[in-house]
Amino acid sequence: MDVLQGNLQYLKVHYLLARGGAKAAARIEEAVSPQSSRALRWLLRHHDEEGITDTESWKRDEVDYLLEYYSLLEIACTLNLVPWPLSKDVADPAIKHLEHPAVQKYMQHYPISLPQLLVLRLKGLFIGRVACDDAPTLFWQLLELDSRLYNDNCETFLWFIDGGSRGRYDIDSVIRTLKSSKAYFHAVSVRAREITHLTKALHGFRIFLQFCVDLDALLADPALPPLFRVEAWKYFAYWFRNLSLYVEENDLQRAIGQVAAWKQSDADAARHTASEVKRIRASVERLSSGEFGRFPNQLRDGERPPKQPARRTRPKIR
Amino acid sequence: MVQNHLIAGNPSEPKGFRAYWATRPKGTAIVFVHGFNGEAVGTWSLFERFLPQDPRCAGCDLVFFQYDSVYTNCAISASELHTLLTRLSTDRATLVDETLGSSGRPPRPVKYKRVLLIAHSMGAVVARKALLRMYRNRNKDLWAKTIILLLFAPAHLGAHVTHLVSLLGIIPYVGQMLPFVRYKIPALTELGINERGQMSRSLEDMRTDTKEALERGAFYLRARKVIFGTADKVVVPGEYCDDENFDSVAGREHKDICKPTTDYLDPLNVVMGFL
Repeated sequence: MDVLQGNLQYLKVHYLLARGGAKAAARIEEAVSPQSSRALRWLLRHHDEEGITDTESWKRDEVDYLLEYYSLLEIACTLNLVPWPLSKDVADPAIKHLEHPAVQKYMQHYPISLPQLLVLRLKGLFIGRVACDDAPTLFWQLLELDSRLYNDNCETFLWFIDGGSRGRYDIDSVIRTLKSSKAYFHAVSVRAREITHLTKALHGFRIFLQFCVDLDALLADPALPPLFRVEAWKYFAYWFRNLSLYVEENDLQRAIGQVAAWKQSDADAARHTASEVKRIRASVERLSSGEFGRFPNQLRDGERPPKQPARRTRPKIR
Repeated sequence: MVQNHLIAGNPSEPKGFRAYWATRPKGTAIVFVHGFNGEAVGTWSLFERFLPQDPRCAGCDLVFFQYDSVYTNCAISASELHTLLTRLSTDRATLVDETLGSSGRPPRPVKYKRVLLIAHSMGAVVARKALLRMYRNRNKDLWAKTIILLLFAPAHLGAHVTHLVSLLGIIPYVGQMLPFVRYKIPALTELGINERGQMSRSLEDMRTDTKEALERGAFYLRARKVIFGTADKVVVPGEYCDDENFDSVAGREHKDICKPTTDYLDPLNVVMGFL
């Protein structure tokens, strides 16, 4: 099998078909009449217009997965890992899906830029490419990092920082629990059958922090091609934006301290814990600041990340 | 760099495996088994970046086994690993086709001459138990002799529960809570040593079975390389049955002993030494 075809096949099978993006694609393709197009636009509305129902949120997830697939396709194009030009059976539907007015609007509501870059690329308006010896392994590393977020625990945590709630738990429950060592201990050390959404979100938070450290280490590598660095950061940028929106700075710092630390009497362990906490905090701060999302010539000395917008309220239940 | 591997395995599936199949396989597989609360690939990071880039690995299949290490006991995970190793050795072509999603491709038979089974921490117990299953199945699993076992910070002599618990991100802030945690998380009972430093019954049985199997010629159960970090506070270091004498790496902790980086290439060199 041709390796470039193999890479494309892998993306299609696991990121388009397995995760449900194909269902969203079919739904978008069906939305041609004014009535069905209106229905799709309503499904993909901003949550401030009207709260998102349970059924709607599952369908919107499928759209998210479709956009993730196109984002990864864009990065694979940048790294020359898929056949170029893309065959008509890949390129034509991509333009059709991503240029649908409802999808365009959705990408404005919830800023996602890589699919839009793919459309520009397919139209010949963006030609950014990276000639890099370790392109395959960089891409695989990105996929491995992505897969770490795709589990029950992380999904619950990410749902909470997307404004969602499950049962009686939401991001506030997580933050509240993390404020007390005792509450955290009891919530996490449970038997399999006693696991709650709170337990999952707490485990998810810990996984997310490790993910941040590893993503930061990847992106901070000075040898990384700048375009890949920008695109890789943008692929995950939504979550860092949400983290800033939903978790107060002080709460986040305290939560990191809680998860990374464990109280030990010996000085070595205490020193190690302090450096671990410092490392995680620095990674989260760098990723949330958006500095990896800018090309080096766009960075100015002493430039600070934009002030955090006011916290939004978003009733989402699942 | 020429791309010599194809990534495979379902990234959305918490159990199973991730693989980097060699496009021109030459009869070697490297199978990684993570430890307590570890991740298929994350535990071994940056092996997944270094190995595919190395020309010596161009024809090697790289397989990262994933299992539930917190709520499932080692014997169950070992049976899953045994199944994966069996399929890998007897039916690679189908496995490749299934995981790449390209069923139309004609299978290309590959017979492994060498399978490096590399395990970290609890993964060493899972791997050894999987090999013991092979031993019990010895009339069928003739390919077992191709296996070379390499261990990083193995937990086969037990682990200190308080430190093991720290891998979960739990704060064992009061000693009296530990029995409570042990009871809730079965893996801790299986791996943890008691106040007198004694291993669990399960680990004792495994050692007895390993000794017996080795006496009867199951040499694949003998670890060819065992490495501990001097700063590892989680597992109990020591010699085990007929395994090679262990090596120690100064300053390395439990979690980073098996992670190659640009300034710590020992784990990579160990693996390369067996290729």
